[in-house]
Amino acid sequence: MTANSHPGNILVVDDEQLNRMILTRALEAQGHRVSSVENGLRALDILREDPAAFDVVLLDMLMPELDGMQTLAELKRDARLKHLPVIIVSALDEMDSVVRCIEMGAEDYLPKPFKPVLLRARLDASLEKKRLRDQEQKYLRGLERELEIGREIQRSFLPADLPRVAGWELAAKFQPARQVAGDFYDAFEMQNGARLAVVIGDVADKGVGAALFMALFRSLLRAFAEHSAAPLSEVVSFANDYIARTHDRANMFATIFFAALDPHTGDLEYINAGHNPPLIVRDARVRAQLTRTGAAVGMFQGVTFRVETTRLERGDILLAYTDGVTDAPNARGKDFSDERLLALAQARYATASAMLTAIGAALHQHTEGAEPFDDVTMLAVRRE
Amino acid sequence: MTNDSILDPAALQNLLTSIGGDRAFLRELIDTYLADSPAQFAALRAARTQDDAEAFRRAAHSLKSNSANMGALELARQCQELEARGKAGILENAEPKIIAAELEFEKVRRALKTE
Repeated sequence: MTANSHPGNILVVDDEQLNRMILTRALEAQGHRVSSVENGLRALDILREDPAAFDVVLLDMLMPELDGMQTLAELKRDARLKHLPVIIVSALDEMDSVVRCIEMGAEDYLPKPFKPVLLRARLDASLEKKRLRDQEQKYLRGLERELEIGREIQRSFLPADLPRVAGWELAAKFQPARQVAGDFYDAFEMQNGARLAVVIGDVADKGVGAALFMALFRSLLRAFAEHSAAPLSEVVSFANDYIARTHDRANMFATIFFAALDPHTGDLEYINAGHNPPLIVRDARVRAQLTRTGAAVGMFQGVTFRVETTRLERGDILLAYTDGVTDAPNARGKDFSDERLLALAQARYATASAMLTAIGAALHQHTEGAEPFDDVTMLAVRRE
Repeated sequence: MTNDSILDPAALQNLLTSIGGDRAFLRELIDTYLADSPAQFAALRAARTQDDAEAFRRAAHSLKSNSANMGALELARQCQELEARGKAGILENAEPKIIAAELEFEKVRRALKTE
């Protein structure tokens, strides 16, 4: 027998000394490293002690203490061992048990007395599969680590604290559907504190691409708005033209609601660029829906964004949200819906934060058991 | 009966190939088989006396498995029948079958001595 180019660590489980001797020698002759034990209990002990110690298990069927099928069931129940390939070694007259074991997740079987060529073929196939799986796991772990870093960095693109402005309360709720998100919100002072900017946005698509553009949209809007006295329409146009011109091939755009609030008067200028209409709630009634005043940002260079004005009176709450709230499906696929959100918004809340908590709880109840569908973001501003 | 019907030469050759052609190790395997089998026959008889079908099945299974490895295919076939009786829980009238298997084992022993 030639030496094996991919030797593995093999555990032989068989109560017959003769079988252990033959299998051990045969596997060693094929270049593998072999350990053997005489029953299932011993096998579980040794495997649980170091789940990474073996690449393949050769498992006999009829054994005292714990037989092959029971051992296999235990292995498949153990999260750390369930992916370890198991080859059933069995006489041909035990085919019923072999079929059961394959159904239970055994990788393959080897009839005994075995032929060396078959032993080599079955083992090589299982080892190859194990190697690919190990590689895949390593790759996935690396990817998860990268995504975690991405998520951390992205978190830093959202405000750590919302600005405190006398007479006003700001509250936000943000829950990404994946590790990185396309939603964002922001609140910051502009024009030397004369205005408070309140922004919510939803970048088309999901995942890493959306997350990168979320960072770009947020930074463009904030950098320009914070350091210039330009009117609102120019701020949004600047971001729009930059993205449409510089990233035209990415076809990325975002729906954005951008408002500039005068904290002294409650006057609110806003642009709604294709975003779900924010609500103004007064005395538990929706007084206004701030519908769209322009196209989504980043689609077409040169489009203009109309600025609208309104005013927040004492006790008013402005509620802005992304479609992750209204479109969130429950386990049966039914949306949370605009109506549900409107109904929840039209209750009496002492604070903006209480409103978001109530909506968040209803949403959580609605989506229980369903896959996270989209990022969920809400931003509320209340005049005290 | 010829020697070939007691010990299948192809099966023995297969075993030798499996263990990398190591004749000394083959001898060791044969010696282990010849040393262990009488105890299995004793276990078989004890199980028969105590009407312990599961123990009967195990002993017959061991003898079947080990005999097949050594190329003693006729003995393996007889032990498979015994194993089936144990599995079915029917140990009555097993006695003649046990005696036949023991006689076959004696032939196997003599044949293996010359290997």
